[in-house]
Amino acid sequence: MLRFTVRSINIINIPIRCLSSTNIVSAPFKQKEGKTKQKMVTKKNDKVDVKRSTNLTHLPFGEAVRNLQFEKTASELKIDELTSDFSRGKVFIYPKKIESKLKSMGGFKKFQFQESFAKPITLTTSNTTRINELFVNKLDEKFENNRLYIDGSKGIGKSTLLNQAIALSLLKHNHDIIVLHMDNAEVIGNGSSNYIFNNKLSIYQQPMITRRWIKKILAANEDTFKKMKLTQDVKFTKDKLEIKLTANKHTLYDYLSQNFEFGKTDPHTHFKYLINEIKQHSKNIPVLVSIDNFNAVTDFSLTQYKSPDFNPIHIQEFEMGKFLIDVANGSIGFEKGGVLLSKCNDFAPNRKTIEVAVYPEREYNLYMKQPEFDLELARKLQGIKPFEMTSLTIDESRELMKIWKDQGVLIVRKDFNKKDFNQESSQVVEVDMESQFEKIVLNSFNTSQGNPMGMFKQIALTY
Amino acid sequence: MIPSRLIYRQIPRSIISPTIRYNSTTTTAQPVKKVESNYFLTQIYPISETEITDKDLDSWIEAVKNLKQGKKIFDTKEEIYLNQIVNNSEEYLKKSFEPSLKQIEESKKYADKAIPLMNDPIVDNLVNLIMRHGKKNLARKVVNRAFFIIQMKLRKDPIEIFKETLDKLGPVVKTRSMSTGFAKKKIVPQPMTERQRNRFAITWILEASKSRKSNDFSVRLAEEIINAYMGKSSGYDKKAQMHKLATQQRAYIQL
Repeated sequence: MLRFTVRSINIINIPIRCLSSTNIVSAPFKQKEGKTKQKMVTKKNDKVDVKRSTNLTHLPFGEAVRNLQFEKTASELKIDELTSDFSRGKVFIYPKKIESKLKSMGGFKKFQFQESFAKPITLTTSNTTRINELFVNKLDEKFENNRLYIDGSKGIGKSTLLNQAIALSLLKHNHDIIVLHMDNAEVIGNGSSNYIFNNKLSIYQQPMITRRWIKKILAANEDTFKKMKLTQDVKFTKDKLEIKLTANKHTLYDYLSQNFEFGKTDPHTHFKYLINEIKQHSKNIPVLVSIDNFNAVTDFSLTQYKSPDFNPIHIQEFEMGKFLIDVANGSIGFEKGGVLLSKCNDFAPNRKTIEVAVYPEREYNLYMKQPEFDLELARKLQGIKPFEMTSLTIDESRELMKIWKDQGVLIVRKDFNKKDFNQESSQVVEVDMESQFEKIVLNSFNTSQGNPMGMFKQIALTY
Repeated sequence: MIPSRLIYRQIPRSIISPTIRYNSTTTTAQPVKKVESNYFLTQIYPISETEITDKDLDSWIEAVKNLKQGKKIFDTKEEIYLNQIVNNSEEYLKKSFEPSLKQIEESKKYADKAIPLMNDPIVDNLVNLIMRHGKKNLARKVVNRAFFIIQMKLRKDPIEIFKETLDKLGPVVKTRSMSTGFAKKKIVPQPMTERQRNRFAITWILEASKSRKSNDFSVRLAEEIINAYMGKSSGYDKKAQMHKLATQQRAYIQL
């Protein structure tokens, strides 16, 4: 009976609350007699969480070194900027504009250890002077006749030379040049991207790779593309709206910055249009195409991708692959400019396609088959001139090591000696640090034979 | 001084072996090089004093072969000459060595100087403690990379930083339980040598580096060494605990 009366009181209360302006949910509950009000209490941990301030990264060494931004901890560099009339055997930094362009293109690679300096540095060697004479000075000539393949052992500075060539040609032409740089050509065939078949063009397209590459070249050639007027009208859709760009009014920059159809998974003809536009402008503006790791394209001509018959697709059946081969072949149709191809020693050294194409006078095994050798492709690539790298001289390497020493990368130490525990008053032997530095220079130069990567590894990665 | 053995390992293979020319069938006759008279070969081969050609060397080898087979009648110059050497072989077999005056003078230059070690002994100790299944090169690679990260992060000599952290982190005393012969054991504090202290510190650093995020051991090790250098490692608690125990049992110190 008592319970009933209590409930009845509650029921009576509700209509009164309903008349009020506030919501019923927000109304406070009537406290039952004899009970204390319950509160939400959060448990407090007695242990104080100590934050580990030096948690660097989850990445492995190669990526960690790039990701941790060590260049911020480096001391200031007081080195001259690279100019077109540079002197040989000196260390330079790139001009600010060129450095940002090279960064956006992916010119500075992993395991080059550029992070150890405040800015990327570069040493001008005999290779630089040679490439200046053989390639950069000939950019105004015919595109077909200006094709070089940079060859050399691992760590000798092939990718660095590509950067130097790009920088020098930008300086020479006052940034009025189209630079189409591809920093990792192996991505076309290594099965890391999506791919679709374009029935109209009867070619395979790789939207992911194409979109990324166009993003890079757009960042690198922004000023040049803004000057280049379109030669043909073009249409594309952006945000479900059709955009029409007219010839002689809009620029190539307008086209590339707005067009996102390169990355769509539907077949399109935009890449063909882009190449055609560059072709039209190449009469006035020279085109520099530089492809790093080019041997990965030719030596792995049968790609990891499979056709509907489950056969491997040839590299030339891809839009980007065909573009690279046509560029290397010279048949792309650019008027002025040149191609720089570079080798990478990380890929199978027993594959001979590019070697046979570049060095036709060398003898080779006639019975070689795929995948070691692709005869058709080798014949197609004939006419490329080899550019063999020479290693650093002793003076050049000494100059480079001085910079390493100033930047705190090379640390000159005393020789390691055994401690004499018994002799209390051991003599303090003074060591001449300059002679010690000279000893390090000679030692590393002799062992690495003037290979900069070998020298760096010996100095900074050996304890 | 960087050891030559290590250097050899650090250099890419392509540098060590020069580019080999495959499938070469060309048989262009190379001109025979004339050897000058001051060349070392002419000193031990006095038959042709001015120069030695390939023919001379062939006849030399033939003479050696003939003498080995036991030929006793000598026809050629080489055979006669070689036989003389064999007869006076005692001169060449002398094992005593007398240095020349030049050599003695040169040796005085280096009298005070000790032969430098290949590596820093403390770094070597770290490498050896990281090493598993005898894979020293792998352990060395880990240490090299970790030290590189430390050098880049702090811009100081990583060896000095490592030594400093070991000095900070290493405990001074440890405790050892000794049986007294009765029911109760006593815990005796004992001072440690430098090597023992370092070993404790290194093992604590390696233990702590296991809890780090990265999959790469070198990155984890670098993080932990930097942490310990800053004075934040979990090893400091262990050190304090050891010291506390030792101070509690200080009555048992044996001098």
